Amino acid sequence: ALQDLSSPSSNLQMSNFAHVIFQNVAKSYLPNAPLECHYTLTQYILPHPKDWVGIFKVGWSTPRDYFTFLWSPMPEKYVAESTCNCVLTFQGYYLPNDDGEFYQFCYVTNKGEIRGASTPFQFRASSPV
Amino acid sequence: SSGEASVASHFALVTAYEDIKKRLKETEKENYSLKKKLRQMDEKLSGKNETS
Repeated sequence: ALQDLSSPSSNLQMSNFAHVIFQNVAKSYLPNAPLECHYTLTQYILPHPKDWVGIFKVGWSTPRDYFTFLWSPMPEKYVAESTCNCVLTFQGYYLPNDDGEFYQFCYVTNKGEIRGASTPFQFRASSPV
Repeated sequence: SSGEASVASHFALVTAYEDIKKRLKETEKENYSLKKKLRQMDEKLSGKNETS
């Protein structure tokens, strides 16, 4: 079923999921250490104060499946249709342990729509690659 | 809609899947070269043992 998304009709829908781009996502992070999440709001998204970024276990099925989340701060002096670089810091005690699972960041709008998903990462006690 | 949510979760899974597939390939390549290196060192070491 993974091929379903390569059909032309779903490519149109897929583009919605790239309105927020996560930058420099590592392959692994230390558990219990602050995690900086960098992302870019492209001109295609109109940010809202109740938009949020969640850490999800890969294979999640609804936005309610988040492991932890932070509100995405509104860019200061936001100009419509501009791009903004944002950064969020997840505190270590809210993060998963070294559990062998893969996680990813997702940007979720106030209406519960997914507008960006990152490459996956793990939480590993050993030194990150 | 729930249809859109399911497309979103599918898309996120495909994103993760493609990346992990790429990493698996890289890890297998590294595994191969580490094994090769180990074999070469083994041979060097056993060669030295014979001469000494």
